[in-house]
Amino acid sequence: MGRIELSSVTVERNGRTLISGVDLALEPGRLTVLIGPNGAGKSTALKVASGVWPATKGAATLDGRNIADYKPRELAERRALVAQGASLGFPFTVGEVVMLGASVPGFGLDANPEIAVGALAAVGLTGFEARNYLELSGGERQRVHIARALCQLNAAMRHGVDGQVILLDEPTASLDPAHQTQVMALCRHLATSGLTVVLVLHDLNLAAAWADVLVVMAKGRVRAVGSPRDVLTDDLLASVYDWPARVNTTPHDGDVFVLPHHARYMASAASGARRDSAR
Amino acid sequence: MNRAEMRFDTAAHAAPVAALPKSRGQWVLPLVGVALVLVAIASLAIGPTGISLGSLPRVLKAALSGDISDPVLRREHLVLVGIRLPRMLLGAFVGGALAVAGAMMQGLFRNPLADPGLIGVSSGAALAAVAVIALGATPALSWMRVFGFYALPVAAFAGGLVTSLVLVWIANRSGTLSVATLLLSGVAIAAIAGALTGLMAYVSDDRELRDLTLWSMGSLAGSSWTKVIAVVPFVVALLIVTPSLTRALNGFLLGEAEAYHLGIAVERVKLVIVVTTAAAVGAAVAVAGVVGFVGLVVPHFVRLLTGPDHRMVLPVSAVLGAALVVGADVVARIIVAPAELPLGIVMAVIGGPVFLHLVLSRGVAGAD
Amino acid sequence: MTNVRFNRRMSVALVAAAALGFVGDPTVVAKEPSRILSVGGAVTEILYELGAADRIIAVDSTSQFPPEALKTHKNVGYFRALSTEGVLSVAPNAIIASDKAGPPEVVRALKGSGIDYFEVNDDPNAEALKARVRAIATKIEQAEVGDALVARIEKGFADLAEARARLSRNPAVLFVLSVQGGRAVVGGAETSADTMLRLAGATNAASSLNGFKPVSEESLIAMDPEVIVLMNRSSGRGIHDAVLALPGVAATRAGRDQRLIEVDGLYFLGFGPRAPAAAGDLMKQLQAPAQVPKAQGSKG
Repeated sequence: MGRIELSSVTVERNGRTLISGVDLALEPGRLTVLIGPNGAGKSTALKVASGVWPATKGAATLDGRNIADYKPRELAERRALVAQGASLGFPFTVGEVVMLGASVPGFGLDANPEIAVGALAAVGLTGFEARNYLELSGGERQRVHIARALCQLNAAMRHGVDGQVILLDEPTASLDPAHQTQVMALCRHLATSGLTVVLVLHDLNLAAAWADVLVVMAKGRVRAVGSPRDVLTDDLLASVYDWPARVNTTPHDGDVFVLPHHARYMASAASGARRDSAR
Repeated sequence: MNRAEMRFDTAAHAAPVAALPKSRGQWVLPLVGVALVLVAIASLAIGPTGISLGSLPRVLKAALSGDISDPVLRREHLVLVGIRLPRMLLGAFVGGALAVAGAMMQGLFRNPLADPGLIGVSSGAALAAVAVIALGATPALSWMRVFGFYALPVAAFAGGLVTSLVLVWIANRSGTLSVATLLLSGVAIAAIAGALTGLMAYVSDDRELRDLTLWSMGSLAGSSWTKVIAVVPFVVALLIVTPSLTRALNGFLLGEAEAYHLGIAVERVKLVIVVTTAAAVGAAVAVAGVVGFVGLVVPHFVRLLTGPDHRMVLPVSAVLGAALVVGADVVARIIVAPAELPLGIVMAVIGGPVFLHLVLSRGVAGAD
Repeated sequence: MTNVRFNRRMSVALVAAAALGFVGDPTVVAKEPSRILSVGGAVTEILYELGAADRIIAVDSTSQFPPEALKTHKNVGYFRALSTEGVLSVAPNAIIASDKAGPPEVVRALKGSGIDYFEVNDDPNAEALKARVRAIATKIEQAEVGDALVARIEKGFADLAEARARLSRNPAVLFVLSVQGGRAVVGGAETSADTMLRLAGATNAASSLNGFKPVSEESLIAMDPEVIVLMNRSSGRGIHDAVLALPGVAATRAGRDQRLIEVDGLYFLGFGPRAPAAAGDLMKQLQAPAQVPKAQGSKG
């Protein structure tokens, strides 16, 4: 329950092909992270998985049933998405914004406000309920929206819905290191509780440190899927990012981390400079 | 329930459960309700003839018994029941409908400066009204005479509705109703309607021009029970539709994609909002001419009091809008009695400075 | 028949008068109707001419002649923007109104309110003028006075016609209603201005237009009027200077010779009982070789 599958999904919009032939299995109980350079199609894949964009070719299913066949409310009970830079121009309180998550038609009014309090605590915003949303920093706002998604899922869960999915598009973008860790720990915790957790991340090392499954995408295609240790290699990163990288492991835990390969970078820069001056 | 606790056990136990503040400003709705009742009573009790509510019991008794032969009684009956009562009811409708329409537009466009005119209803209604005023005597429009006195309101309503439907069709062509296209097309259509209106004003004579000017300043002088009855379906429709839209409008404020993720049927809601607004504004304009100010300012003011939650904003706006228009109409009727000021002018003169003061002291609610 | 009408009207009026606490000396029978609301500038003027001024209790805002009409009576507002309750509050026992009064719902409500509502045709031509004088006179039981007034009006028009016949030429005259945004609004064909100009023995320089319309500079030059008749405002020099300032005007005969004549709006366009006099005044002015522009007819 809570398994999303993309089978040979191609998405074309406004005459451009955003992703093509993408196969993806997003499993419950796992923290799956999509990484890749700009324009790789990570957000597109996420949007197809969440149902907001239809697949032009191929199929996207949730628990075996085509996502397009779900009514919006049924989907809202099963999955929540935290988008990048959600904008809100009106002076709601933080508590009201979080409770918007529980405003799905059908279970809004009987949602217990305590859910919102718990959700805020989970993202480290205890006591923020009465604050004006517009006065918060970018990072704080981002965490409020994560809390809203938690609230949505929890309210649905009280109606007996099982097998839920949470999708997050760059949730750590404006956060400082402490809060980044907190959000990633929360995602890990949710995965352990049985949710399907899918993230798009920009930060390679954050992804490497926390992901169960890493999906590397480039130019609209999936280049590699697997655990960070298996997937991250110097050659893959060099070809995907067009950037010389060195994959390392920490001495104590054996965790994987990535650094720019200084020597190779300086060499290629120098040869590039020689090429330029020779023209 | 165990899994819920598991999810949040990172912190929930430590903090005492702070109760989330309930909808802010719950005192506001009863307060504006009382204001509306007071203003409505004043509207029945005050007027240039000096007849007051003391006459009401007599009049009601006579009306029920069917015997209104006494000329004094007849006059009182005419004033209280035939003039002031329908006027008060229509004023309440116009104010409430315009305020709710304004609130819905501001939710749809996610902008506190939107007003109901943005979807072209007012320009279309004005265009139709001008056509009737300027060309009503010509053979081209002689078929409208079948409506008798109601040619103007019917035309205004039809014009407003047709314009909005055209706009929706334009904005819907890609399959989803694009709010941005709606806005821009609304601007374009308002310009076209304005040009045609100007053209017809050009061929009008002095008297027709004066009529048009007066119509565009709004007035409840032509209120009658026929109009009240004609307006009842709109009241009913609004009462049914509005509560179901409150949550959707809240979700909309996050953006359409977000609203979709929250389970809101986005396309259907947009359509319902546009059609409801068009119908409500069309009916209001048909009955009272162009009454500005209410649609933009009332919801804005309400948000300053209650916060942006539409579960409060929509009903409070309706009641406050009604009270505002009924109150302004009282002033319009007595300030230059036995003549009368146009309604729109009274509202602007009273409301403008009040709103300005509010904006300067409290800031703009959320337009940043 | 007359007796029946008289009696019914009388009893309604008496009851109304009693109800309103208006107690009059029972030995003096006032002429009926005694509390008239007059709606329309021409209607008010006629009522004054018929000597019924003391029976008027309220007028509309266009009743600007004679000046005391507005000063000494209540004003119910613009005649096309009446208010039902406002009208009722002045407690008339008869309303004599132009048929152009409005809004239509208010007129209908007033007609159904039990007050005597008497409509009068407002068209600006000689026949309609005589008809409305007769109608109003009959209504207020001043039929003989009315007939005398009609006779005077007819004589006035007849004299005008004779004078026109003796004219050696018909000057080209342009009527300027106002200047808006730097352009003159002139009276074309089928306007009351056109009727009056022709009564005064002039030809309308703007007869190629219909209605009151703004015209361009070039059209002004093409029209080339010999005289320009201006509608003045009650205060100051009105549009006299504004018209002279128009470049097109300077190229016309009227502009070069500075032949501008100002007329009062209601006097000239209202087509009330003073219409023959107004036309006659204009004719005299047109025929005299005027050196300076004269304001005429302002206080009748």
